Amino acid sequence: MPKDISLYDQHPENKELSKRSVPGDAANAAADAGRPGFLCFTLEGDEYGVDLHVVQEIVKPPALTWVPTTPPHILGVVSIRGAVITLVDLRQLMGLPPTAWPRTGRVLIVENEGERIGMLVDAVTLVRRVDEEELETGTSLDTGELTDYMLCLFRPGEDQVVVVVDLDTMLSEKL
Amino acid sequence: MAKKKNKKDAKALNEFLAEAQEIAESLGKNLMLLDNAIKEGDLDPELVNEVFRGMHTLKSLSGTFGVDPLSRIAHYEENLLDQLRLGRIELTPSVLDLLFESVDLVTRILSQVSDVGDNQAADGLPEVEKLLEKLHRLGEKQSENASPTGPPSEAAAPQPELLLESEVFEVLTEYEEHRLRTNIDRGVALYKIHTKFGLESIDEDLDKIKSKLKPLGEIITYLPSAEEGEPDRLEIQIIFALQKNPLDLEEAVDGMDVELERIEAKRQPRSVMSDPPEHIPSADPEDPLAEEIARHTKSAPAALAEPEAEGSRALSLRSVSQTVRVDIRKLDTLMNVVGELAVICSAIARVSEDIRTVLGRRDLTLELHRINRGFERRLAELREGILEVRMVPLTQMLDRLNRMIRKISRDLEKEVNFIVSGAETEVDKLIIEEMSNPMMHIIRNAIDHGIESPQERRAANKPDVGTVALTAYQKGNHVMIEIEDDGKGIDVERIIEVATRRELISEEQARTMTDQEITELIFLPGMSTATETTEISGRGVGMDVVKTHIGTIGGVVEVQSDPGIGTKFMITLPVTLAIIPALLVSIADRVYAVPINTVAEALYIQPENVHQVMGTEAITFRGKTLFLCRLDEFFGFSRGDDKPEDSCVVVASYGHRRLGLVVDGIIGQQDVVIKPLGKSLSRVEVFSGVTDIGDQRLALVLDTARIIEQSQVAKDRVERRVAPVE
Repeated sequence: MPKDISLYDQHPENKELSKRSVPGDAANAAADAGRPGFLCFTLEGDEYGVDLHVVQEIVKPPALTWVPTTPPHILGVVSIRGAVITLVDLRQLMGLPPTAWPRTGRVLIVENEGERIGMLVDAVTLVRRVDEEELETGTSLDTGELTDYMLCLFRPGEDQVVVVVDLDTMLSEKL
Repeated sequence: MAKKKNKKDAKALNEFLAEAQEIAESLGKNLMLLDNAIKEGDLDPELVNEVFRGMHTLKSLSGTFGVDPLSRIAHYEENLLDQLRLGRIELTPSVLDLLFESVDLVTRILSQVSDVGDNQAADGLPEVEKLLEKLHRLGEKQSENASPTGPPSEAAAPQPELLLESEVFEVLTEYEEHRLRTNIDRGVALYKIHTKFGLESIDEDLDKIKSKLKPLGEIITYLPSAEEGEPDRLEIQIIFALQKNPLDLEEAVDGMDVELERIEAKRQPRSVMSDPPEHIPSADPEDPLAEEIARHTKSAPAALAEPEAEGSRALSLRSVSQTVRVDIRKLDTLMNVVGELAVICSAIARVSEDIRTVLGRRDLTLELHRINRGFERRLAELREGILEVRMVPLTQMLDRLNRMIRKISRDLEKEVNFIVSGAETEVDKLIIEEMSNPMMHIIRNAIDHGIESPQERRAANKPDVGTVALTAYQKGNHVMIEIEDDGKGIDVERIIEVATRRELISEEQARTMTDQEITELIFLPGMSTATETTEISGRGVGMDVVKTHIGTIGGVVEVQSDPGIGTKFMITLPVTLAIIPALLVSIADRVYAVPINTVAEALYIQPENVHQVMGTEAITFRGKTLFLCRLDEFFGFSRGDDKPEDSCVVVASYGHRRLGLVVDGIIGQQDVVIKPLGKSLSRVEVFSGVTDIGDQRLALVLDTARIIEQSQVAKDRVERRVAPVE
């Protein structure tokens, strides 16, 4: 049971959370307060991030109940400590091949329009904090283009790209 | 920080709304009582005063919370009621109409404020101005023909100033003085009742004596005074108008620490007014009591003696309420916790089993098992307790219905007798909330379309006054509500005409349908048969909305109609939505729950017994054709050849419709707590929710009514294809 309980709660200052932060950042924990934080995860080997504040908890995939008559990107419903939560396949929402179930990923619990939604991702990597000016939006992008539901991207290191997903728009449009 | 404050404000607003709603409800109830009293010609002045006080409280409440339209209405109403209780305006049915209208408007404003969550949400509502205008006009009209109910025998009756010591008389409020005068005019015997109460129990003691005195007459006022030397006791004198036999009064107060004193109401000539008070026995300076009264009135505690604070005094003397108001969502949360505890309970049972098999500690297992059983039992009690809290008697809803019936019958000039039995039947609060609109609609229809005009009724040998009877009772896990009228019944020919014209049924179908089947067509969308739409029954939205609404809370509505005799609606409701017994079934290794109240029977079927009827699979069940719905196909499972050898049929019934749901197997019965599916799944129609079946696993709960309906649509389509070939 405790394994399923969140690694951190709504407060980004949570200690559990800083354990997962990049070491360099941990040293400047105080300075982090003003910098945007992103919870990063992988899908098909690529790294993505979402605004840290929208993620309420991270759990292992619980027993899933498929709901007939729903579109394929809705995986079903799960019970998380008594609450019934709809689980969606983030891969399919992002236009990637669907997730095979059962699997070993992680579920991010986010809130969308007053409802808690579970999103299945391949794996959670870490929390990254970046400076505002490091975020590349559509205009300042030097390579490629941002497709649907991509808010911006940033480059935490050589050859590393993290795409920030616009969850609000995506969930509002797709659900 | 700002957010926190908003939250606090919202909480305060909610509390205000709950309290205001309660006042509005009791105002409505009292108005109904007044209405009855007028009809019977026996008006209890205390009732008018009660309404006045309610309005007074509402005024100050809404003023505090800045609900402007509300405080304005309440302000005008309070003035009107003040005039009423002082006898300056006569309480006629049209005045009462205005009062009813105000209470309805107050309720509307409250729900608007509550929906928007803003205290200014109802500002600028045009109806408010209209009502205030009407109230204003009434006030003007009344002042023209001033004081219609002035005391007729004023000259002959003694003046109250002469009966009471001036010190006592002066502290009487205008209202109390008015009541005193009225009683003297009627020649009613007046008493002063002296009694002493301990300060600790004064509220209860006062209530006790009040309840004893009430049936015998009218309490005009009670005046407190502090007895010297007895600091913990308060002397109270009650001025009482006895309308019954003096012996009854003596008997009523027998055994209480009470002294009775008759105030002699001698019929004196008017000239006595200027005479010195010696003529009045009770004001005799020699009389120690009178002296005492005079002294104590002066030294009475301010909070109790303040005559202006009449409204608040009455409130403070009310008995301390034994009830608390609880937001039903808090109970939902508690119910969820109970659900989780049950899951933990089964986990403990599993671990205790492991202790035996893995560790071989049979003794420990037994001990743990025993403890767990105790836990389980307490848990069941807790669950029962929470369910009980959610239950409220139907009375709550009936008050609203009463009000509506009164208005409709006046608007339509049809007199209607509303007979209720079983008002004490208890139903989940949520169900009551959801049921109030459908019930209003049914009753509105009964009066508007069912009950004939008095002329028609006379011609049909029926009494002029129509009857609408509401009967409620509990039947197993259900609450039945029956609404019956003695009107003209549902016109079958007219239904056929409308249904065929609107192409809801074909003419062939109409010919083969029984009267009962035709009557039930009223539940189809677009079947409003009223030739002209009236304000009362609305237009377009009809019985189909009623049916859908009742369906959403797991209820069923059926109708029976006898031409010329009347119509009867029968509503079957679950007692609670919080927890229901369900049949757990398996389909392709998945568990689903079917609410027991929609299951008629469950049986095994052999493949050879399944035959085709009009292209749909069916079996013969109790001599009738039962259409089958294979749930695996219905849900769109693709499972190729691994179909089970034999399957089960759950005979689902909804109203009088039946459908055989084919499942793989039946697991058993279990009480389940239904949780709604999230907003993201609101388009899912065939499941009413989901339930925890332990081990963190969920089972979807079938919305049987929807499934029957959807497969019915499919069947109808088949029928229509087949029909022309015949």
